[in-house]
Amino acid sequence: MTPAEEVSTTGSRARGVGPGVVVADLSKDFGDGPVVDGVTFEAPRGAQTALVGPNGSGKTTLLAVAAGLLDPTSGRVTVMGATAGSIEARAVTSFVPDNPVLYDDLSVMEHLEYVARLHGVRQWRPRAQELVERLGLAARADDLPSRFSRGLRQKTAIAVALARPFGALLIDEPFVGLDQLGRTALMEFLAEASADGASVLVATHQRDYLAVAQRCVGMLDGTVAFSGRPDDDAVSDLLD
Amino acid sequence: MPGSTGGGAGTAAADVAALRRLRRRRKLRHVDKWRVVYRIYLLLVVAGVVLLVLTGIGGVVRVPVKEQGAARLLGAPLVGLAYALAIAAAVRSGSRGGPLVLEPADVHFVLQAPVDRRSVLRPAATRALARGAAWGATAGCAAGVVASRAVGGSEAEWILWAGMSAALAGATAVGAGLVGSGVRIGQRSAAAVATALVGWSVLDVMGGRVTSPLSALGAVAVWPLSPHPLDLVAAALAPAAALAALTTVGGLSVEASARRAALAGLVRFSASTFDFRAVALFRRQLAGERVRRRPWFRLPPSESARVSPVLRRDMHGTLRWPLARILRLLGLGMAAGAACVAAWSAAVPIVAVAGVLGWVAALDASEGLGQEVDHPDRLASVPRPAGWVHLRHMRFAAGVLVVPALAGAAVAVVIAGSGVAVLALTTAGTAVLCSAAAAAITVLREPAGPGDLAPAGEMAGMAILVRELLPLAVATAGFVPVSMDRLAFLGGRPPLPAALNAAFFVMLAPAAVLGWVHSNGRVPQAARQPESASS
Repeated sequence: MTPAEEVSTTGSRARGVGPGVVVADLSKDFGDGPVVDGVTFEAPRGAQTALVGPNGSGKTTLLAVAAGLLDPTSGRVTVMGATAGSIEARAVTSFVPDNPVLYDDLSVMEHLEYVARLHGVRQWRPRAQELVERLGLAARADDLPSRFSRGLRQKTAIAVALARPFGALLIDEPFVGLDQLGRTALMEFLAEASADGASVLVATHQRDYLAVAQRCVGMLDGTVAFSGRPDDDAVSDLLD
Repeated sequence: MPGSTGGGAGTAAADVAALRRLRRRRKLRHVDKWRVVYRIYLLLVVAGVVLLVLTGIGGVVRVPVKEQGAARLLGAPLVGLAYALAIAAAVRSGSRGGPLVLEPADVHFVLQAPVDRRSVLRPAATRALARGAAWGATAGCAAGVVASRAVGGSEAEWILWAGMSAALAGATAVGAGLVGSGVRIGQRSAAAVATALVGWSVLDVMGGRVTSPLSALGAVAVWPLSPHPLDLVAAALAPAAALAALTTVGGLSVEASARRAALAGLVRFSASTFDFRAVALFRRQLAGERVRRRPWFRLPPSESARVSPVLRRDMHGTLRWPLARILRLLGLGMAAGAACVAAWSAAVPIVAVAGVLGWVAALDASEGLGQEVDHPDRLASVPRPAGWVHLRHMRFAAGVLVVPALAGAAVAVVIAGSGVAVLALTTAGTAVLCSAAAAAITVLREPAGPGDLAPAGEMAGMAILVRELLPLAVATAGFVPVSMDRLAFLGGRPPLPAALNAAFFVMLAPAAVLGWVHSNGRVPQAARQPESASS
């Protein structure tokens, strides 16, 4: 049974077996020197891991490699034991990029249906309804996100990422542009996902997220400068 | 989500197909039928003009019977060389994830879904192969028309064979590109394959023989000249490439696809607004062409007031050009030289091809001017009229263009003999100035606005067409001495004085553009691209 076929027996939405997101000696070089250089850490299942660091420290690149959107130059990322980008890893990895990527000609609900069905979910509607209501998108569910504001597009991207089963949730700067309702809902979703056994990895500059995260990885100049509890003083230094 | 997951890759692929059908139906519902009809009308007008130019409006000259032996000897390998260049470009594109261009959302959702990528990419690959064949067939048919006029024979026969051969070559090129991206060929390996293909064809041209499969495919195009049934075996190239492409397409790199998806959209948008400077910029990024981190060499520091800061800025920028851009500029110059020889030998209207090549080269050479337009705030802070700055950028661009122009003149002399040296050098001079002027018009002119659409309604499209053809007309004017030389030769008059006279009058075009640039010294109102888009 591949990780993609395994469905959590806890009744959760979390999918997959094995450890969470494991980054092993990862490097990524676009040709101008390494953006990520020898990074090693683990974002375990059932926990929220905050990925922090100043601009240009390599957080977005690292998440994109973990999501299978970028090929590593060296090293490896596994998600639930499957190599990032493989069909097994794609089945268990849900990724929200910092800039929402959405179809121009699909409504919010059509996005949710499409992505859920791509991931083999037949009864997608109840979950989709729940997501749009909790994110405050219910009134706009049949509208085109291409005409939305940045915040509404961000909410749509979050809903799309949560509408399908996953074992690892990777989110890049999810709080940018969100109103209070959206921020609260997102915090709840992240807590539910980790409680369901998913590995949640969030790249952020938001200090208040550190209060709910169980682990923190701090990056600086493409390397891991810190790995441990989010209330450590070293984390504050990285965020300043 | 127990109970709610189900199906496999096949079901998901079926979902993708169903959604595509839904989206297509929805798009068709919102299509403005009259707009489509109007676009078809415009397309037909353009096609008619191109056909008229190709057939030469009386300017097409039949290749004399005594020279038809050479045409027979070189026809197949020359066509094969053209195919080799197309396939080489496709393989290089494959090394960068081409030629497929997916929607960014498709890259993000479909390629990231647990679906067999080969099954979801196959329809797109099939469409790309069909497009390649269609473009090839179109070009082949057009070439068939020209060939039938130039060397005689049945027009229908020429169109049939040239169209079929080029269609197969088009499909082969797209297939080769798809295989390249599917197997994730490295850029160096792609360059090696491209060099081998082109090198083999060049050897065939030099030896006047058909040894490479692409020369054999070229022989199919010139079938009316000398039919060799064995050459038909080369037709198997296209299905073989297509089969290999459809088998390997699933290996496409998501990273390369995401990059192409983002940039191809920008290229299309820029092209739709006729912003060709932006098209050139984004095309370079699409090709992965990046300026060098370190210049080829550093200029010594200068504090002399006599050295223009614009000149130094342009030299700094040019010294960071990647090798690919330098080679492209030289290649464009050499191709323009070859086109001039073809125009003199076969069909005078081919100078328009040289004009297009010169214009493209000049867009590359005018990078400093383009950067100035991209960053209008900087220009606004310069205590000089913008025209003063622009003219100096133009001067530098013309200086850079001298190199490819001399390369083109050398090619013409190598092909046609030293007797054409004066004509080649004269044309090089006019081509440099006219091409630089044409690029300046393209870069400096504001994109078409409501004012340009004054003859509203059905004439608006035609007005834009004329407006956008102006730079090409100016660039082509630089090659008019070649045309006049040929026409004088045919008319029994001394050709060189005719060419020199033409050169004198041609210089009026860049002079007029210089005057326009000087007097049009306002700072552009809006940046075309954000700073991050600079090359």
